[in-house]
Amino acid sequence: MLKVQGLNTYYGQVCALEDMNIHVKEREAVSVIGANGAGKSTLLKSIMGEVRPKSGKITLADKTITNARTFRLVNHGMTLVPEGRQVFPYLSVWDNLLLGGYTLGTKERLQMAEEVSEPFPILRDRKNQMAGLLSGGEQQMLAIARAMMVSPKLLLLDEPSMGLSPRLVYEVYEKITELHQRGTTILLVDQNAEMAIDFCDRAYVLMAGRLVGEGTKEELKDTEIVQKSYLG
Amino acid sequence: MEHIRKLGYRRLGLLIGVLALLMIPLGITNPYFMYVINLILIYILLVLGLDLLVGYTGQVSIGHGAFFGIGAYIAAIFSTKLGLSFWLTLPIAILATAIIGFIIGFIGLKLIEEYLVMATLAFGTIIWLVFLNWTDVTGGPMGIALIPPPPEMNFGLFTLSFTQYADYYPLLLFFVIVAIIITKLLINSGFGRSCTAIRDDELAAQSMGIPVFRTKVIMFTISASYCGAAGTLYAHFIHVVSPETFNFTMSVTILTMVMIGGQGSIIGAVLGASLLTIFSEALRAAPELRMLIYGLLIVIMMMFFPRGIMGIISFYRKLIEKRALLKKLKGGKATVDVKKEGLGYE
Repeated sequence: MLKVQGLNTYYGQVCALEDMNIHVKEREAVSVIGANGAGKSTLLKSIMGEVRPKSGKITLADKTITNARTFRLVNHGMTLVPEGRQVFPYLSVWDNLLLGGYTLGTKERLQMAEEVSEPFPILRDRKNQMAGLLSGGEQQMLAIARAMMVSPKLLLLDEPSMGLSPRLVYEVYEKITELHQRGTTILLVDQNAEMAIDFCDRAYVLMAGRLVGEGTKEELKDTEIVQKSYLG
Repeated sequence: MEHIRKLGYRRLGLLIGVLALLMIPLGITNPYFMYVINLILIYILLVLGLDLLVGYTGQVSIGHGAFFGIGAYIAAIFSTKLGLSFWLTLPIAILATAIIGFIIGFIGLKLIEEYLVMATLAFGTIIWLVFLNWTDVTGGPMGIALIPPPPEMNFGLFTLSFTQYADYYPLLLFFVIVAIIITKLLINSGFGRSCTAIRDDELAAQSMGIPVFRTKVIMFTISASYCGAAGTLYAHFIHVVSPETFNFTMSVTILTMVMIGGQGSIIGAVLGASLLTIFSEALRAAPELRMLIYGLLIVIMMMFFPRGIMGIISFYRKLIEKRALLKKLKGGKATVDVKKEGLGYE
């Protein structure tokens, strides 16, 4: 479904991603792990068109999306749950959800909001409350539900466990697994390597902007680099 | 009593408020006070316009004094040189400022934050220089005088002849009420919500399909047109326009009003405009102190009360609500779902 081929991204003179090659198949859950500054978020930003890659090619369902404008990618069936949750704090939970369906018609938007909030009872209970008043875990649930408003073919998640307590990280991953089991293709980047590897079908390991490992979760758990660097 | 209940206390309060506002000229006989009140109404229009951009879309401009000036000069030129009435100069000025706002927004909003501030500052300065130096059209430093008042309006029971300050009050109040209604409809619309989303997080907004640049440009255009309307009203109210009114100080004054009242709040816009206009009139004897005090006020507000007076009011309201809730819980008189109360408890 998603193919990233020979991607090179620079911040000024600094190379943030070098010759990146990854792919995600339909209905697959893929994780990208790596330490802080490894280039995980830059990879997602390059895919989302937020950062312009210097060279390389990105295709989604055989359509080239390299350098596509971020807001147009929703129409290609791809949405992002940004790092740090980024709900709109002064809007109600319900308005946050409705904004997720910006590209839909009014009727469809309301219908989808009902549908996507079903697996998140807490969001339904607090639909009129300002999103900024939700706890960190609830905000992450809202951000995920909001991204699901357009029934994306591919859901990108940037650090979904960031700033959450271990119990909440577990809950969030449980919800992401549920979405995957319902048929959503997922590409996730996270510093929490243990959770990210446990969740996925396959994973990539990044280090200093380069791909240093790749494989199924079983294969990766046995590799020295992952054992030493991420799983202790 | 049944009628009142049906109408709803909130609507009744609003009705009483509007009636009380309409009665103001009857209670104020001093023309200077009436002049200041009219000035406040014009500033409310300006602040509402800038707040759409700063408070609801998160884009800072310090060039809105120029849009105010463009509106005023267009009204002045068209009414004195072509003899057009106020009812024609108003839509022309709104349209012209909207077009210029669109062009400036289209160029400026490609820049980010501090660069946008610099671009709007440069725009404001250029427009001020045009007012000052294009003598044939703008009258140069002398400006344009003898701008006619709006044509007489006859309502049967009373006539507004615009010969005294009190006559302008109902007209200005009408435009402020219309602007408040438009603002309210705008911010509660899907477009308004997408502006708020952009203010809070551009990447999140874009990843949901919101065309960030286009939305910002549209809001910049709308915001500029509010200033065009305010400029026209100002020109026909004061009857003279000159460059020194529309310099950098004006842009900073409007921005300070937004900051003091509270960004992203209609009531805040009204409060900010009212307080600063009165304050500015009080400092008439020492105008050079104004900028110093405005600068200090902005710094203090940004440091301690980033959401302005409305932020302070909202903080204390929540504090009182929280205390009342805790009192209830301690007394064991009521069972309250703290989470549902939405006070941020975890």
